[in-house]
Amino acid sequence: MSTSRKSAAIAAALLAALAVLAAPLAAQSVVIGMQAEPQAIDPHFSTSGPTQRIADCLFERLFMPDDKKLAGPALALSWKRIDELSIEVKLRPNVKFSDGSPLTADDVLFSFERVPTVPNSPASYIKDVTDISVKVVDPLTLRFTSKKPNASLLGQISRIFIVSRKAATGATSNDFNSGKAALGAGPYKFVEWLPGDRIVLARNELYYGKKPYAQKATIRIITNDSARVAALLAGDVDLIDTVPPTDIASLRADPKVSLWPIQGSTIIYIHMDSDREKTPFVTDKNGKAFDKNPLKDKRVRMALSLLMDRKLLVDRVLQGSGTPAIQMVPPGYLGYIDNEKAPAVDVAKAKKLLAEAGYPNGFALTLHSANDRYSFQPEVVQAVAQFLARGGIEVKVETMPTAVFLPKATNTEYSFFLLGFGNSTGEGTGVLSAVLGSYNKEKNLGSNNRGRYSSASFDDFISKAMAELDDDKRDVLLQAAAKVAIDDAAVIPLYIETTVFATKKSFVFKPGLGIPRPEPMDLYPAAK
Amino acid sequence: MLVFILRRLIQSVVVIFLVSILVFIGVFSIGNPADILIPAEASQMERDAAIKSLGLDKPMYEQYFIFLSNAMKGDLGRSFVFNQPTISLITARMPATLELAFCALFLSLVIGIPLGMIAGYKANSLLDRTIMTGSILGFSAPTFWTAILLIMVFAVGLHWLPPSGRGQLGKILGITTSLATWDGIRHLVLPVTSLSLFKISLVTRLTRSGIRETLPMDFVKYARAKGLRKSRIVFVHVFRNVLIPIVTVVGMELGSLIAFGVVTETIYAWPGTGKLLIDSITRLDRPMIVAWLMITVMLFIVINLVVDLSYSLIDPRIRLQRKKS
Repeated sequence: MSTSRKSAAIAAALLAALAVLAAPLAAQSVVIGMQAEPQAIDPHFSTSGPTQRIADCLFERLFMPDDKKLAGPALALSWKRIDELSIEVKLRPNVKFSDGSPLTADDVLFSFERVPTVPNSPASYIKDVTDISVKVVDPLTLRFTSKKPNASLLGQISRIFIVSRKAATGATSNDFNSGKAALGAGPYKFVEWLPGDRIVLARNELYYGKKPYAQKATIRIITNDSARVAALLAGDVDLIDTVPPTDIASLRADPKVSLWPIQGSTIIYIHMDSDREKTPFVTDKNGKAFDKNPLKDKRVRMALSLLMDRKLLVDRVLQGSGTPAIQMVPPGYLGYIDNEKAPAVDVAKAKKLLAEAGYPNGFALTLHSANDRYSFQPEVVQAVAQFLARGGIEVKVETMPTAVFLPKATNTEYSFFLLGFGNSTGEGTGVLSAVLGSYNKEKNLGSNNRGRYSSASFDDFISKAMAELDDDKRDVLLQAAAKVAIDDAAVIPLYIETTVFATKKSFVFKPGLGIPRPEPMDLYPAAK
Repeated sequence: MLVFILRRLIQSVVVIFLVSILVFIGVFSIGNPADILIPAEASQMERDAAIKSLGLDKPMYEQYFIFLSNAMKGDLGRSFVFNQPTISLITARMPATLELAFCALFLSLVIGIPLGMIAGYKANSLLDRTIMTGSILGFSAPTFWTAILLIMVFAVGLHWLPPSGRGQLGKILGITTSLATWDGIRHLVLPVTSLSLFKISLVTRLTRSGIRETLPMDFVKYARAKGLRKSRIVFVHVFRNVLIPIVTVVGMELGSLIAFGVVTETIYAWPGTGKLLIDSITRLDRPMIVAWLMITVMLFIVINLVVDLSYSLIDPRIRLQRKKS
C-alpha cells in the first residue's frame, strides 16, 4: 500500500470513528438562551432567580415541590415532627456527590452553617437559617429546631442548597465561580463559566434521580430580547426563556418552533395611597387639591377596580401572555380563593359608586410606573389610563426607569402607581404580609406596602397564618386575609404574568412545579 | 518632549479627580440600589442588614471618601451584584471588547482609506458619487437596526453565520481571542461589520476631503513639475498630509468603539465591557458604574496622549515647533 493510500485509509477510518462518536454526542447536547445571568455559582450567595437556576442544576436540596406537596422528597426521604419547635429529617441513603464522595448529614450541617458566612450578599439566604439550629443525629438523620413556632420551617429548610464540606471548606464565592468548590449532587456538573457569555454543564452520571436527557448543556446569556429570538430562529439555541410578547404571534406561526406558555408567579397590580389625608397626585379636574384623599374611600377604590377591563388588557395588550386577576395570590398557591374570579368591567356600577362617594364628575390623578420592569409595561399603563377615562377619571401617565421609580415609590411619593410582586414560595404568605400587612418593621409586616393600606382584621388573619404550621389551616387563614383585602379593594390586582418559553420543534419543555425555569433537566426530545 | 508628557499627566490627574466627583454625584442621583438588589420578599430586618453590608447606610460624602481612599490604593470597589472587585470584572471582559474594537477599526481603515482615496482622486466621477452615496447610508443607518438586519439576513435567513455570542476561543501569542479559531472568526463577522459600518463611512469621507484639499496645493504641483511618478505623489506626499486628521479622528473613534460598543455588544450578546455597563446601570450596581467610567476616562486620556505624540511622527512641522518652544 502506498503512503498516500495508507493515509487515506487511516483518514477514512478516523472519520468513521468520529462519526460514530459524534452522532450520539451531538444529539444529546442542548443549548439554552437565558435572559439574565447568575450572580455567582456559589448557591449560597444570592436568592436571585438566575442564580437559583444554575444552582438547581448543580446542587440538590432536602425537599422540592412535587405534584402533591410543597415539600416533596429530594435529598430527604421523609420528615416527622418531634415537638412544636423541631422536626427530624431522614436523608436518602447512598447519595453521592458528582465526584463519587458520599453526601451525609454532616454536609447538610455544613451547608446550613456556611450560609451566614457568605459576605456582601444583597439577597442572602440568611433569613432562612437564622432562627433554625441544626443537629446531626446520625449520618442519615438530622434534627432542625426553630426558636419559635414557625409555619414556614420546611419551606426555609427546602431553600438551602447542599454543598460538600470537603470541597467547600473555607471556599469563597470565587472558588465556586472557578469551579474549584462547585461540587454538588445535582443532575449536572460544573464545567466552566465565561461571565457575560455562557455556562457549560455536563451530566452527572452519579445523580440519584432520573437522569436528564442532555449530556452536555450550554446556557448562553442573551440579554437582548430580539437577539434571543433570532438565536432560536437561526438554530443556535434549543430553548429560550422570556419570549417577548411582541414575538409570540410570529413564533406561533413558525412551523420550526414550539411555544410553552407557563403561568408565572408575578402579580401586576395598582397600589394606592389609601392612608394619608392629603395625597400629592389626586386633584379635582381643575388641578385643585382635595381636602380629603378620595382613595381613602373604599367605594372609590372599588369603582376604579371595576373600571379595569382585565380581559381586554390581557388579550390585546399582552397578546394573551397573562391571566386576569383580582387576587394577589396566584392560582394553585396556598391562600388562593377558588371562587373569586376577576370581575368583568362595569362602568355603570363604577360611576354609581363614584357618585355615592361624592365624585359624580370624577377627578384627576397621575398614574406613575416604571417602564422597563415588566413586559409591555408602558402599554399596560396607557391602557389602564384609558379604562379610567371611561369612568370620568382624568389620568396623566408618568413612566420612568425602574431605578428611578422604585425608590420614590418606596418613599411613598406617589398616589396611584403600578407595581409587580414575584411570588417564589408556592404560598401566599409572602405577598399578603409584605404588600397588604400594615407597615410595621417589628412585626415583619408591610415591607412592600407602599400605599400603606391598613386593616386590623387583615393583620389579625395574616399574623395567625404566619404562625400556623399546618398547611390546610394556614390555607384557610390566608384565604380569610385575602378575602378582607378583596372586599376592601386594598389594591387593584390586574393580571398574573405568563412566562412564555420557546423551543425548536424537536424538543418538549416540561418544567416541574414552582417557578418555571429554563433548566436543561426539563428539556426532552419530542416524540417523532 | 518629557516636559510635555509630564504636563499632560498632571492635567490628567486633575481631570480624573473631577470626573470622579461628577460620576459619584450622577450615580447617586439615579436612585437607591437597595430597591433593585434586595428581593421584594425580604423582611425589613434583612433589608437593613443588606443595606449596611453594602455600605449604603452611610451619607454620600462618606461613601465618596471611602471610595477615594481605596481608589488611591488602586481598588475601585466591589460589585454589589457579583461581589467581586470591579477592576477584575472589567479587565476580564476587556479582551472581548478590544477584539471587537480593533477589528472594526482595522476594517474601517482598510476599506475606508482606499475608498476615500479613489473618491477624492476621481472627484465627481460616477465612482465618486457611488461611494459618497454609500457612505451616507453607512452614516445614517442606526447601529441597532443594521445589527438586527444583519442577524435576520445572514443568521436567521441564510444560516451562514451565527447570530450571537463569542464562539470558540483560542490563543495567539498567549492572548485568548476569537481570532484564533474558525468558529470564533465566524462569530466576529456580524458584530464587527455592524460596528464598523459607521466608521468606514467616516474614514472614507475624511480621506476624500483630505485628498481634495491637498491635491491643488503648491507642493503637489511642484512634485508633478519635478516629474515624480503619480503613485509616489499620491501615496507618499499627499497621503502623509491626509493622515493627520484621520489619526486624530480615529484615535477618538477607537476610544468610543471601546467605550460605547454598548448597542452592538447587547444585540450580539457579546461578553464585553459595554454589555457589563448596561447591565450594571439597570441593576444600579454603583461601584461597577463608577469603576467603568473611571477606567473609560483614563482610556481616553491615554489615547489622546498617544494621538498627540503620533502627530509629531507624521508631521515634521509639529516636531520643529515643539523643538523651538
